Amino acid sequence: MKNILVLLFGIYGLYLYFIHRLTSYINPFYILFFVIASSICVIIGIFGLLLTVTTKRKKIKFTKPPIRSILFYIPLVALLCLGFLFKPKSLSFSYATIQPTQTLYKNFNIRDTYKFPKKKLDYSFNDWYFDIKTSPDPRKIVGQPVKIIGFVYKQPEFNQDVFLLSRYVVTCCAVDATPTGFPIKANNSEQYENGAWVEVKGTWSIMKDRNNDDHLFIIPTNISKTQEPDEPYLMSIDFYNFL
Amino acid sequence: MNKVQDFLTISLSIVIESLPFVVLGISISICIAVFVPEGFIIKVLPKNKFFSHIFLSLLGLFAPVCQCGNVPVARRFMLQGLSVSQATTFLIAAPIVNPLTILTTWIAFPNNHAIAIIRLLAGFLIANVIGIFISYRKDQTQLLSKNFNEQVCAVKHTKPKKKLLFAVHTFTNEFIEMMLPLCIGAMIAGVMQVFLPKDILLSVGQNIFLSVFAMLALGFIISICSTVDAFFALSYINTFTVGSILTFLIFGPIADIKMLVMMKSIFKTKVILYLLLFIAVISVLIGLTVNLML
Repeated sequence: MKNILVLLFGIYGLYLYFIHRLTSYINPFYILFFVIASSICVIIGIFGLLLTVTTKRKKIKFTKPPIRSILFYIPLVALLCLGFLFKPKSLSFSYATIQPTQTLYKNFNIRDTYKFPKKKLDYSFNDWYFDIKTSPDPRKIVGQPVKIIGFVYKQPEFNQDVFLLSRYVVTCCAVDATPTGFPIKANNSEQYENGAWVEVKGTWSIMKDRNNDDHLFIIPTNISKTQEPDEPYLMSIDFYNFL
Repeated sequence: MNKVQDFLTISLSIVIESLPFVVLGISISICIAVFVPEGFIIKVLPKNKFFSHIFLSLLGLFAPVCQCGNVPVARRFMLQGLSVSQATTFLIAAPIVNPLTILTTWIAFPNNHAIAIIRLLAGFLIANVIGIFISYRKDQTQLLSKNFNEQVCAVKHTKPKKKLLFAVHTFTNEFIEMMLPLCIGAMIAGVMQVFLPKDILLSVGQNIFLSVFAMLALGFIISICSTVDAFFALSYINTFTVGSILTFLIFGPIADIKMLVMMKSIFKTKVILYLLLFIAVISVLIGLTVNLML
């Protein structure tokens, strides 16, 4: 039973890797270590099963650990079954409703090795996120074109024609995910339901909020529904600098 | 349905992120069992009670493993003949007195290196105080869970002849012993993350007293690896007091939900609760002291 469980854990890990869904759970930095660990589990699981058969045939005795009741294994088996049965998915928008949204305007530095694309239209969500967080004056991007993908998140306190184009920022895994987003001002925003993944093309602009503070907005020229990207989460800039 | 899916995503993410460290910890444990000569660890340890605990609390500097990986190593130490107090000192110190944790905390707070220093000293102090306190107990094995106590008592102090067979069997047994509490802890953390809104906790960020307790609760709920939790804490630096950030950084690696449930593979529930209480009190005191001094 134990060998089978070890083998199943390893198989589940490799299954997630081969269907490219590990990034729904962990920072891509950890993928290699996880795949190695899963492979070790598969090898040990197979060896264990073979050795169990061999030792039973040869009647070799060894110290057995305390016998556990079947109830002991239920949480383990339950989580494994749920993992196999439910399609792997990244965090939904409803998780963002109970998390504080990360602000973008802070003074950060970024390593010189980070290469921003030459053209602004080639900037990904992550590139804009890093650019704004590290810029001493984010307003310099006003007027620049933008094309990014994120999920729709409508906060109750927003006006009806505004939604956040959001992504989760992750340090190690989904457990520390913090939502961040760029406000989109669109007259037809009611067409897009909460959680829907969309691609927004438009231009950066500045608008005043209710407290008369400046906020960067995207004025869209086109919003189209799209698929969730292979890497749905952003890497925290601090973790990136550390690597 | 979204909440159920999010619960599953978070629970699985904790298990997935911890798996490499658990495998690493078990591998180190097996290497100790197979390759370290019998009695070597006890010979190497200083004979003085205090110095032996101090030595073990610094052992984490050579094993940069997340807290999940330290549990199988601590178990192996006890099976190799170390006392419960000595192994507990290692278990509590290693997540914080750890080169990766020290480095990431140092880098995360470049304008306030005192946070890294206080965190390191607090982890060292808590581990040694707990260890030395336990060392005065006559029968330390009474603190262990029934199952683990049976293993400690039954262990044969001879090197295994069939090393491969031993390694495979030990890996399998230790893996299941670790993954069960890890899965339970992950599911509890998942429930709390998804169904508990954090607005209430986060609204008290600037209060000198309440912020410390809020961060204590956050550290308990969020089962994040000690090697990178400094970056997570950094995101709260502008909304929470410095003392509360320290409380999170000290309490979280030692006593989050995941770690407490994993400790169930070693200790009795009552012992874990006493440990939790002591660590919480010290973490809060340090946090409050820093807040009041600033």
